[in-house]
Amino acid sequence: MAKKLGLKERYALLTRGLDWETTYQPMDAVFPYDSYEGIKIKDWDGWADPFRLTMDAYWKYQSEKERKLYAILDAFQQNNGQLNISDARYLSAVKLWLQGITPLEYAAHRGFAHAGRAFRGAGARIACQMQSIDELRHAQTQLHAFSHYNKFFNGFHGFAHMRDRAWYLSIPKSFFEDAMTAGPFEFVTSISFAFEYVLTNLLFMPFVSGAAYNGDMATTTFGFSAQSDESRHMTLGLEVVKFMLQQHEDNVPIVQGWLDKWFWRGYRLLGLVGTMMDYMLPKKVMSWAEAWGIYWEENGTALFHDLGRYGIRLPKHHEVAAKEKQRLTHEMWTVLYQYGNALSLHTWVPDDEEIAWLSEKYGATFDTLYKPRLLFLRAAEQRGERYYNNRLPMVCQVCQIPIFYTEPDDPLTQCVRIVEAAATRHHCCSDGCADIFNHEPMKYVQALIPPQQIYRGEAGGARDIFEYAAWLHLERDVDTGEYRGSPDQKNWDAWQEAHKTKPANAA
Amino acid sequence: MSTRHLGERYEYLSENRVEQYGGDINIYLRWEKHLMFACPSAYRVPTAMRLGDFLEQMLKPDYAAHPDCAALDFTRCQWKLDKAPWQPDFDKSIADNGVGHMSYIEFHAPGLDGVDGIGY
Repeated sequence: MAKKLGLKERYALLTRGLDWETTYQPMDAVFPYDSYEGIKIKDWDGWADPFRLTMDAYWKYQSEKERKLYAILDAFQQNNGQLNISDARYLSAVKLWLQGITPLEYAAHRGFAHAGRAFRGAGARIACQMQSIDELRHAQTQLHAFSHYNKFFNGFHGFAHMRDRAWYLSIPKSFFEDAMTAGPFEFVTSISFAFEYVLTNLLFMPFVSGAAYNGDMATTTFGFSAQSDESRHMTLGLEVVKFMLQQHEDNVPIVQGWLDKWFWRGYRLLGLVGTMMDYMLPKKVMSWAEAWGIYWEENGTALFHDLGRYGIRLPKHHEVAAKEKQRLTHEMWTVLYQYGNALSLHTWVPDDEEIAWLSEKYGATFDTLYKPRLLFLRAAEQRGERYYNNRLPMVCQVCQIPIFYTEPDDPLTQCVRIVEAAATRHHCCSDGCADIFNHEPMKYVQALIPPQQIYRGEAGGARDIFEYAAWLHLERDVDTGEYRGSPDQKNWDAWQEAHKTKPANAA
Repeated sequence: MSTRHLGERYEYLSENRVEQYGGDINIYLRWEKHLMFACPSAYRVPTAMRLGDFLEQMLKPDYAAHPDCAALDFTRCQWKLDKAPWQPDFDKSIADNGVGHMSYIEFHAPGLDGVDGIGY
């Protein structure tokens, strides 16, 4: 009987012995995508996957995790777990995840399937294949975890319809589509390295810890189930960047350009997560400024210093992110608050305890600049004049975020950059986004910008924000708008009351 | 700089080119020191519209929720068009004022510095 092969040997056979050099067609014709970006690879066998996962091991691990996850989701549903969350306001964070992040998991599934086909090295292909399957699984498990809330709360119903239509979802959608329409090396640099390795702690930690702090066992369990996949993805991200940098010195400036671009795009996208942390979670985990300090300014920059030996420097405009960290989430929350008529989640003015927490975390900046704004909005609401801005905004041509950011050195003036291409002016929110536009103007002039689509008559003929919200399948003041007085709040209060008055011996 | 690509060409028209607006244009305005309106506002306007009519009939109602709006007098404002100082003529049309597709207009109303003077 033949000796049983070890994991290392099986992995070597899978990734080194199974592929072949094509003879009917030249390799370059079979794999056109892995060379046009200018990345030079001398030896594909230089690709090393630290996990060395074979397919049989992969299926075994994943199916075990799946069984555990669904057992807990079943228990959560059968025990009315939705009643144990901290407050129904918490669900704005879950809605944002379902609408904004889950479609990204699916997009990642597609992107890695494409990258896997595009690479001629078998090790890289196998790693992309596994990640592609992981991402599909994440999309599915998230949908299953969140679907329970759809039975009890509004705003969960139309995520797939809205993904291609809603203004605030064009932010994450355009991020991924920018990556997917690049070549395979840029795609894995953007998603595996910049997003998964450098910035993922700022996405996963706040959401999953936030879920745990706020009693959401469904999301917490999904998070744990995905965690081992995420660590594999992060490793792939670091591996692919080192691989490119080690293969040829000509790769260094190309990779640096991608790191500059995708650091900035990732940072802009994460503003939504920061706002979730500071404003949507009734029980806070940590502030955005603290998370940015730990996960980027300490850990992220240390990683870039390690890459310094290959000639990599810190990404451009990182200093702007540092200047914005005290103000980003306060500015963005008031954007979501004022355009609440076209959001499938609720917004509100924080209560006194939350304002005190923000004061503690953000100090004088918050007290002088942002707290007075919140108190002004609260007073307007109490007069029965809850503020909404129903005029469509200017939107950044690159990150697709409404241009609310202020100048890096002047928090009272909006930052607008005018760029021009294809005989048309366009607007960017920052020097970071303007750099990205000017580097590839022909890519970004194709962007579909929601307010412009509305004015061009391409949003179901909607002429204003209310017709637009109807086109998104949003019911006014049910799915959208203020939390206080919403059906979500009324139901929640009634259920909490019923829960309290229920006799102790009832199930 | 340009996008690396496969195939012969990588050239596109802007999705938001003026031809998509049926004779109208897409313009943007910002009232300085009034961050209650978090973003510059977007409008679709006919180019032949009198500038003063646009400001009074389309723009001003959007700012009605702000306590400074009642005192807003466009004739006393300082203006910028696409970031350069600009002297608008309210009696002339939008086009005759040099306002084009995707133009960005900023104005400052002296003495009006937002809620409690905090730029909001």
